Amino acid sequence: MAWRGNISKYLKELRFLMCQTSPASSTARAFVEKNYKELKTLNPKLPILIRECSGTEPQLWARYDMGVEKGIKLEGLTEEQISKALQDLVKAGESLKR
Amino acid sequence: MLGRLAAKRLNEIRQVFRQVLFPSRAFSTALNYHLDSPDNNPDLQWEFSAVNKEKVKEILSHYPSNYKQSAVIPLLDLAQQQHGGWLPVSAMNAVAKVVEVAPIRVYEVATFYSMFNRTKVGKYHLLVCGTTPCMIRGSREIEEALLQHLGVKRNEVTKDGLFSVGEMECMGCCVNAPMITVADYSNGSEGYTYNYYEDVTPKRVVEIVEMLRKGEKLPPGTQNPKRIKCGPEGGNTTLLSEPKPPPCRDLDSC
Amino acid sequence: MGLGLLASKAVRPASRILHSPNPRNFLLRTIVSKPELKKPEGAAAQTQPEPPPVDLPPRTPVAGARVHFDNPDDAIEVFVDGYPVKIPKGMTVLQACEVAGVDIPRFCYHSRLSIAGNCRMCLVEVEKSPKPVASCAMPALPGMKIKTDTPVAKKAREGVMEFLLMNHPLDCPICDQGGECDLQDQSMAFGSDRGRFTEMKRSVVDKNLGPLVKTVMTRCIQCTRCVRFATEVAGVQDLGMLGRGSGEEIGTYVEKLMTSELSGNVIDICPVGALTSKPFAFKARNWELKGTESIDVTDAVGSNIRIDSRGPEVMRIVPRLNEDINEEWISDKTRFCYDGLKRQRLNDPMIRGRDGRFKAVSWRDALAVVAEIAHQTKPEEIVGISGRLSDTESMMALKDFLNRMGSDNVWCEGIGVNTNADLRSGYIMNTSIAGLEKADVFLLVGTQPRVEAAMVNARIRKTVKATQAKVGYIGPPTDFNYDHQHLGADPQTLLDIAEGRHPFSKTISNAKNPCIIVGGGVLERKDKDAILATIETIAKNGKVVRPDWNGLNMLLLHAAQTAALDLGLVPRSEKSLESAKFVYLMGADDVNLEQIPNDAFVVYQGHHGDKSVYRANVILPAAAFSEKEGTYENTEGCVQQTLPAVPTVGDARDDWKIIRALSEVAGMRLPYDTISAIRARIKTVAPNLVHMDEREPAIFSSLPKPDITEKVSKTPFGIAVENFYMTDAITRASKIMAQCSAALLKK
Repeated sequence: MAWRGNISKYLKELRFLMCQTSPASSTARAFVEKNYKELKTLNPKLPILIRECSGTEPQLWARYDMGVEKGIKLEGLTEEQISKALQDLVKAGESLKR
Repeated sequence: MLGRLAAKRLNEIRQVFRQVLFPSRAFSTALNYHLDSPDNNPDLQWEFSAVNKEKVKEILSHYPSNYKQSAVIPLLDLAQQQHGGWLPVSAMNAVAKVVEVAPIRVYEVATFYSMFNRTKVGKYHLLVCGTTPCMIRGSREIEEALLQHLGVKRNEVTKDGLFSVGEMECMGCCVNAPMITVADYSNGSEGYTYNYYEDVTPKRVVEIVEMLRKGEKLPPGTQNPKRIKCGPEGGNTTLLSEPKPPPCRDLDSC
Repeated sequence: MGLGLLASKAVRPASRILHSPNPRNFLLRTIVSKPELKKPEGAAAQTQPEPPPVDLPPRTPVAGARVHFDNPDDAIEVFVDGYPVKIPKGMTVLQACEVAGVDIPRFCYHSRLSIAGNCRMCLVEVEKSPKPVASCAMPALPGMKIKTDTPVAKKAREGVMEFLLMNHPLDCPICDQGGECDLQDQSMAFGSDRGRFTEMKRSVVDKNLGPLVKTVMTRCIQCTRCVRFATEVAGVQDLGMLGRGSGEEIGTYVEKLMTSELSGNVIDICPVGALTSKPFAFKARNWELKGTESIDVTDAVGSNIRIDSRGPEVMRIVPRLNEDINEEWISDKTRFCYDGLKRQRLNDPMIRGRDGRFKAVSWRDALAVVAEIAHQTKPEEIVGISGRLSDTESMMALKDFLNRMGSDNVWCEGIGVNTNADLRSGYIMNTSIAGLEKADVFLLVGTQPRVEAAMVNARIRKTVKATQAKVGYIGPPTDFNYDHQHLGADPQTLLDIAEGRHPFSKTISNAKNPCIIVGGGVLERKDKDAILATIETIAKNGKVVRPDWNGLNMLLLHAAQTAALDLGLVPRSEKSLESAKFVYLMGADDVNLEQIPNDAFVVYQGHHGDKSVYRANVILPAAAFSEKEGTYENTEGCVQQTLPAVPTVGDARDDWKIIRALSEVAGMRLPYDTISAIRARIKTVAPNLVHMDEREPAIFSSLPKPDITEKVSKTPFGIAVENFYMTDAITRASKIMAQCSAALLKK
């Protein structure tokens, strides 16, 4: 997916927040485990911060230019849906850039 | 009346404080901390002589190899003999290295025992027993005679470095009191002797000192020619025959 | 420290008579004969054990402690004053009494040191024992009946106290320990009211132990706590008990200063005023001081401290108990840096005029100038650097503000360019400081824990001494206070271990719980990714990271670094500082000022006039750690907060509030006004930073990461902390630290 290589073009920072053990964050954890290497290899300079904390609801935050931030709750989403959410964030960044 | 009693009691208390303690009775011989001096400081090098290194190995073999610290006392004694009767700080550091402990542990042992001299002593270190049996037989006069003759105070070394006088605890010769001991450091650790001279008188003690000064070897033991070892003058008055057997060997049948 | 509680317990209501059920008893005593007494066998037949008195409340352990049973099947039962208590096997009688809620007086016993048993104050009566027993040394046997309040025990305590006070000088009015002196408290609670000693007391010459510890050795009661502390915990065998009998002296024999970095702890440990704090001498009595629980920021350990202040002045810093981080000890730097808080303080906003001199202005003007220049600068030329003492809230505010200005160049000093802050497991101490005790092999890479994090070093030493753990060290030669193998000085040794060529790799593979500690100085190297990748290879080969044990750690250097990495304050581009036109230094004093171009506008926001002030164009005064409520995360990831102990100086404000005001003046208002609002914002960035006093373990330690193309360079590892006593703005301003670094550093 070509959009994965464009993440760093439109986003300044990507953050995954999740819980270490709760079942609600299990898809988020699985997504990170499977996709982190690819995402980082395609976007080596993009900070992809993964912050785990007990009791946290899984969330995905994107920071764009001028401090604008957008966050999506990942609770109950499957891995494909998380991927779609990421794509949405990238698209939002694209529109912000124009 | 109460006033008089109070004044009397106050006087008694004052007496206790005014009591000048016996002038030559300094209590502890050495300080529990070290003062650097040109011949006693940690920068000087000190090590066991070649002969003593063999003795060190022999001493260490008496103790388990993982408890080398047990050998501290004999090694300090050897170091003291080698250095002429006293332990400089560098000798204690050398012993610490042999025994593989921190130097402070060796300092603790050396300060605990009063026979480890940490300041200079004379080649012949004269120790006068001052405990009760010797004291009532006149050890204080012996000590005074020695100090006057040598012209030093207690624990001070004479100008020629040959003699020093110290006080010692009871050395077990109460029958032959008073007595002195001569620790002979004049020949290093090979010629080290520690001999008792018993039944001394102030005159005899001065003679002993002069004989030592000339380098003569005199036999240790009682200096009273009329006594044989610890027997009384004129020979034994008891124990002249074989001891009597017990009245009955078979106690059950008696 | 306070056995005052004990003293109050000893003053019990004297008149039992008034509480007895029969009110006529105390006037009329009737002689009653019981049927048992009429029997010819008499009382000799009555030998049943007495049931515990049922009308008294149940006993809980002293100070609300919890009893830890290593092996619950191995619990034994003893009777303390008639009460049965269950204790683990191997506990001493004193510990058994503590479980039963009875605090036995003691001088030489300390729970973290070996048992000496020489003060004899802990004597209690044990049934069937002919003499009172030293409870600190006697192991508790099953079925033992211990009695702590019988006349025998009381007489023993009075006697011991009388002996201790015999040679003790009458120094209470001039002794610093008055008010918090164990001898005072215990003699009030357990001693008799008069002594019988009329002779001359002995006196002892004072020893010089350095600029930190004041010694009045006449007051010493020869408990040997300091000797045992120096030997066991600090690892320097300097102190000893010299002489014997009443002439015993604690000293170093030769004139030696206590150079250990933990030497200040003997001040807490000494039960009397023999060893006291020299900088604090004669300054205050302990009842005048207000204690504020806070956190130390001079290094990344986050030791728990209590700041004792009197009015607006910090008088001293003492440790607080925290079993996981610093136990009961703090390093000398933590303890004595407080006088730096009173010197070189910035108290007014200042602007550098045309003649190069600073002029004090009002906040309004200063912020207006800063905002105006910030707006005129291009976003990529704006740079923000936070310092080593910055708290989380201010770093969040700085990042938010500069992001809104369009700049991405915000970082914390000490973090190198493009450091990978993605996975928390990559930069925190995953084993946790308390977990280090379970390790059996340590590999220290480019870190000197003795000067970087003294409490972590104390923990490693504790492990090495307890379990004979092996320690391998890669870096420049330094001295350690435990046995270690010096494996090498440069990353080449790391490669050897990773590829199995070095003998130490076998040590790691054979270890049950190997632990690798990488120094935070590695983050400043250019080849850091390669080094960290090599270490991950070593970790994988040696099974250092497992589900039950994560031994891969990084020991960071500054109090602000962990939180900065959590928030994502990492420099993105190599030359951002060289091409900057607007530089915002928030407490950043270790920045290389040469790199800042001459025409850049530098704003310095901090509390001390340290190095960076000399280059600043505008100075904004901020509050120091003792004056603000700030969140700090320590190197293992435990988040703690400081509380304001004293009011701040002059016109200074909290860091984050300054940035919030600046944002308002600059027209891009930050969306938080209170500290809870800013913490809510932090929660959306790194939620573990709002969980106070909690340590969130990191997951994803074995996540596959992108391949590294860089190679390890040959540059040997450097020393991150040159001078232990002067590492940040506060310690550099401190006179005590200057004296220490002049006298105590090993040349």
